Amino acid sequence: MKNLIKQKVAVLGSGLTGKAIAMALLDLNIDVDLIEQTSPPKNFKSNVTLSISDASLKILQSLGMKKNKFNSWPLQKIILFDGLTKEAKPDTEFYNIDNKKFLSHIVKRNVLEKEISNKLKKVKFIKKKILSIEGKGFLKKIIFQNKKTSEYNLIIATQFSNLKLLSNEKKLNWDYSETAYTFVIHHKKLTNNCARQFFLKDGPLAFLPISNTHTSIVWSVKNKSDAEKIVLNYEARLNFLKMISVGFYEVIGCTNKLEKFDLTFAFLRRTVLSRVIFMGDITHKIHPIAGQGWNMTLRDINILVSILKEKLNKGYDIGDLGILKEYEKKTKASNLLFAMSIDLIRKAFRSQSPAISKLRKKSFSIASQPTVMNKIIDLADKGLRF
Amino acid sequence: MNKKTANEQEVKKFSDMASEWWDPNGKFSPLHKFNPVRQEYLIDRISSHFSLNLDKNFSFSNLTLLDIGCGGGLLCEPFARLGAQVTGIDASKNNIEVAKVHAQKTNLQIQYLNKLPEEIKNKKFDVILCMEVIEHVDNVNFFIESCSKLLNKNGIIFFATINRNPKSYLFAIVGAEYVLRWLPIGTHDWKKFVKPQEMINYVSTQQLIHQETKGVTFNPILNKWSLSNDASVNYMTCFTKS
Repeated sequence: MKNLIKQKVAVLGSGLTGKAIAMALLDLNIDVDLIEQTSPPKNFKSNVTLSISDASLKILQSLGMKKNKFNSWPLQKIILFDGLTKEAKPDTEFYNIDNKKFLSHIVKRNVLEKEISNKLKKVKFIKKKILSIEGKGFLKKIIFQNKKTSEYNLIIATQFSNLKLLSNEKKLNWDYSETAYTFVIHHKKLTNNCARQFFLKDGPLAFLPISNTHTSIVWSVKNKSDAEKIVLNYEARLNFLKMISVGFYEVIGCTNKLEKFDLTFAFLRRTVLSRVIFMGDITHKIHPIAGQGWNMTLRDINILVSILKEKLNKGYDIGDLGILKEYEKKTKASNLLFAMSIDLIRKAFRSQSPAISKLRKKSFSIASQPTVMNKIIDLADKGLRF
Repeated sequence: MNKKTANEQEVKKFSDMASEWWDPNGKFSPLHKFNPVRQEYLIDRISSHFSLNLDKNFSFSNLTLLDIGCGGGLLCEPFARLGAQVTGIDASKNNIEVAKVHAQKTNLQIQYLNKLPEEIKNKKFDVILCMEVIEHVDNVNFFIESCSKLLNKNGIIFFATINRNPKSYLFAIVGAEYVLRWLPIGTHDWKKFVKPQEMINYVSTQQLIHQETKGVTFNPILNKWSLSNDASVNYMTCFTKS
């Protein structure tokens, strides 16, 4: 009996996206190497949350994740407030007309990442600096700093902008001059399945429930604004949150530690090259205003896996540019439109002009109509489909 | 009478092109565009003939396959990836060298031999492919006889070529060689094309049972080849040995 050789894939970057891709590829008849150049911080406790739509949750489940394993917290309703209203009167409420379905699920990023890691026992983890990536026509060869080399049918890059591989790529790119701060508040126990978002002058503030007593806060603020001063001061932050949440939370305290992210928009002009795919935030980084970033990535992963599975069964080399182009065709246009819509939403909410504000109120009332709301929810759930 | 199946001029012609085989944008780009249709058809047909489940890993691992006129190995490699034990033979030494280098560089185990079918002794195969070669051989009857002898009992053999009629002259010679420049002028000799019924008649003398004939047609708007029932230009036929 001859030796059967599997095709090999290298996933560059062992963050959440890299790990999720590695997990998704496990079911296929290929060897997966997960390559990390930097050492991750040890025992790093993070409060970062992700919003995962119902459709995305199903993708995760289809990739072998059990829902109860990563403590996803369901959202039934999202309430939007245009500015700071004294009586906390909502401007729009989003809820699913079909009561059995949830709008979205809030997940702690590190809990999810740990659960995915547990699934990766069969994946070869390589922690080495990469010197260069070579190979035209034949397989791609990764040359590590210790001069060892490995050959791959396909390289899926989720990080490593330091590599020449990515730095030559053109992208749409701008800086929001905003920073997102995230932390957790502790409040009196209640049935906590409703997210709230306030569109404030200096940026949006979101309440994302993670249990009946804790809620994750994502507060995006203009750099050097008054709001940023409040966020950065523990007392001021706590007082502000107590004030703004009157009527729905009795805030007891908030975590001292803040995690921060610079907010930028980035969209890569092309996502595939010969034997290379770029995936995750490096291809489309969007504003967290609608909590859609990782949903886009999960949808991409799902599309890629179904294409690869079909092509493997038909004997193709999975690094074949024709196959990768098929993936790009199925993802890029809808992702661009989706990313631009998110950008537009963020711009619309940032503007303080009375005309835009009026328009905002108007669109809120349109959005509240059941048919429109259903469409918006469906869009947020499954992304754009043509 | 000439009892060798390779025409020397034909062999040289392809040897000159051999190094370009694997460039999807190079001289052989028409073949790269054409290849997926026949590859997927063959895989579907073979898997249903042997009742193989394509969802299984290495679903072809119990099959031996011979690709006659394998060229640079464009069809051998997919079958090797599916786990089949693949032998590729070609009358051109250059082609065989190109195929060997490519298989080795892409981590595949394929046996490539610079041989003609009549030179293969003491070995039989479950699947035999004679794709786009019959129009390049001198003695079609002897070629078919040599190929058929190598087929195992219950095996399946495929022949693909171009029909001989005014339309095929217009499309395969005038269109493909002179107008679109897909192929170098002189690649094909219209007189060597074979009508499907002639093919069935030839092959049926070898105790082989005709299964089906499928056309392959080009859609210029989609710039894509697809499977069809129109065998007026390119077509594929398959036969089984019982």
